[in-house]
Amino acid sequence: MAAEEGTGGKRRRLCQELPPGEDGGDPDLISRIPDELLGSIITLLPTKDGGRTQILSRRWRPLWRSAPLNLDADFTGGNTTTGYDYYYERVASKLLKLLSAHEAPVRRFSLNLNCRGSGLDRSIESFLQSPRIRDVQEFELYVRGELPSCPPRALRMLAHRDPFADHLHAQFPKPQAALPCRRHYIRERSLWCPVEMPRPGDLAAIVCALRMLGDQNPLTDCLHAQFPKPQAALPCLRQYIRERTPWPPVQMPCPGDLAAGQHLWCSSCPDQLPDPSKRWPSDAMRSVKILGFLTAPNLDFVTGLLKCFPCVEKLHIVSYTQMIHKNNAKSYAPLECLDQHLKQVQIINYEEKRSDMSFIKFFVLNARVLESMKFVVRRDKCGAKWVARQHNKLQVNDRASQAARFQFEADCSRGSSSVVHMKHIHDLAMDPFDRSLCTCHGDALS
Amino acid sequence: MASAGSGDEKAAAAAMITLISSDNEKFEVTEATATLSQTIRHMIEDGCTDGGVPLPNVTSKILARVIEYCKKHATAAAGEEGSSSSFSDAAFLEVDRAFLEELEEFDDAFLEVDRATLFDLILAANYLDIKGLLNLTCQKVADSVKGKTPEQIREMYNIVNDLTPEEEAEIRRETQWAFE
Repeated sequence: MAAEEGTGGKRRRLCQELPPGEDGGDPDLISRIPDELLGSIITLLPTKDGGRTQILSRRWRPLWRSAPLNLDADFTGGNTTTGYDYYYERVASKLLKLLSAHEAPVRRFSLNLNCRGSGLDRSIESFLQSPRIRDVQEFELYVRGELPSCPPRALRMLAHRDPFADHLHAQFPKPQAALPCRRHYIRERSLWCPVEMPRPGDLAAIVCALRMLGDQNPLTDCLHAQFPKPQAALPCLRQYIRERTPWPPVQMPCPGDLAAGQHLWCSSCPDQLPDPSKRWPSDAMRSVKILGFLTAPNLDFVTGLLKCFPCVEKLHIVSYTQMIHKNNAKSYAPLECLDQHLKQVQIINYEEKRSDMSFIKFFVLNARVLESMKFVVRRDKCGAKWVARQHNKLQVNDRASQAARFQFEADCSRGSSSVVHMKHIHDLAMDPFDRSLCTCHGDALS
Repeated sequence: MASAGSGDEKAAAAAMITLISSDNEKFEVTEATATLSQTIRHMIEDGCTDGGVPLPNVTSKILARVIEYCKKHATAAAGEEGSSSSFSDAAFLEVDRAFLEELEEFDDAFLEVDRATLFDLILAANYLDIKGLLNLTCQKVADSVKGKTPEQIREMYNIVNDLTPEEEAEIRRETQWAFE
């Protein structure tokens, strides 16, 4: 009833208050909005559109100046006739002038680069030194075309600015000779480097970006770094991982890169993965105690990994697609991990499928010191009958560790974001996959 | 109402708040929906919501729309309930994306209103301090202005140009980069 009245009321009010004709005819429309809100609208406009609002009327004239600035710095134009360096200088000086005329903080700063002259570096540097840029809330960096040495420098310069933006977005184009990576994508507190990794020297920029994300307090709650094909020697990456332990990918470079990490989170499709035991010397990474997968793992792959991480005590497996891999019953060589260390296994998104079963059964029958195995099941509830059937199928009675407990938890509300507690991804003392350890109830787990 | 409140929070999840519009219409909403408004959240925290929350600046028509927005977004914040069937096969990631897309579609449809309503919504979002709704509505106005000449904008919003030609020339000179 309220809704019907609502629509009826709408028509009545429109007739009373608006002059005839299309909408927008009401002279009072915008004057009802306080200056402060007009400022919120101006700050959403592109730089030029924002600046032009000054000429609308007397009332609008001072608003742009005091609204948080939305600044697009576009260094992608220019031509060979006048010279690119001349163009870069002109853009930089215009931007500096604009900044000096504007009074409010810079809300968003978008830097677009296309380097076609040697002077870009200098122009950008002069501009980035402005203290106004330092307090920017959102930073976006786009690089087009041939990539020179400048973006790493721009990144590095910005990396040292404090406090840095809580929104970052950086995009690099095709991999050229000296290119950090094909696509280097930082967005809303997460960083993705999805394609080929560069030469070690170029990585400095990425590490800077990671540092920016990781070292700034508000940013640490969701750092997700994905490196595809790293080369052998990545000293800075190694150092970074030692400091922070982001989520290293599966195709890790050399073992040393991971040696100091305590948890490893793998997110990849096993079909695309090399056999880890062939790439990594066995027994290499004894420090890793917690291993997580967001994938459909197959036994060959996991046992290979466990060879490399012999001391893993907790294993978390999130099956977000069906575990399609056929796990044939074949015998595996004894694994130190299963014989001596693996205490906890958690399967998230467990489904009653044969491939799941044979995969999990392997752990039931071989993990000798297992204490608990927990299944998070996408069902409304796990009835006693259903659980008994799972026990039967998983051969729980034949388990290698008599002390092991099996727990089924029904939860159909879990989304991908709740798989890992982002707030604690860097807390090395804590297992980020374990919800029960979390003391910040609910807030980041939704 | 039948939300599966978890343990201790059951009582809080079921709590209802009555909102009273300027034209004295009463709306009953869950606390989760109401607290998308910081203004109302503070009132609840201060314990002064008994007997309803009077909102003298918001008409029933606008309040109904605002509640519609809050309901949808409160569900989003709480994690989708009752759509467990859609989880069965799709990847979690895709489900998340699908849900975000649905929310975007909702927002787009929500903004299909005449300008008077849009401005009313901005004022209500500001008064009730609902950040998401304020951003959404301000963005809609910004989008309508984007790429338009000053003349077009004045015409669109009936803005009377009370600047003298001298003042206009001065602005053009000062802000030359914006008019190139």
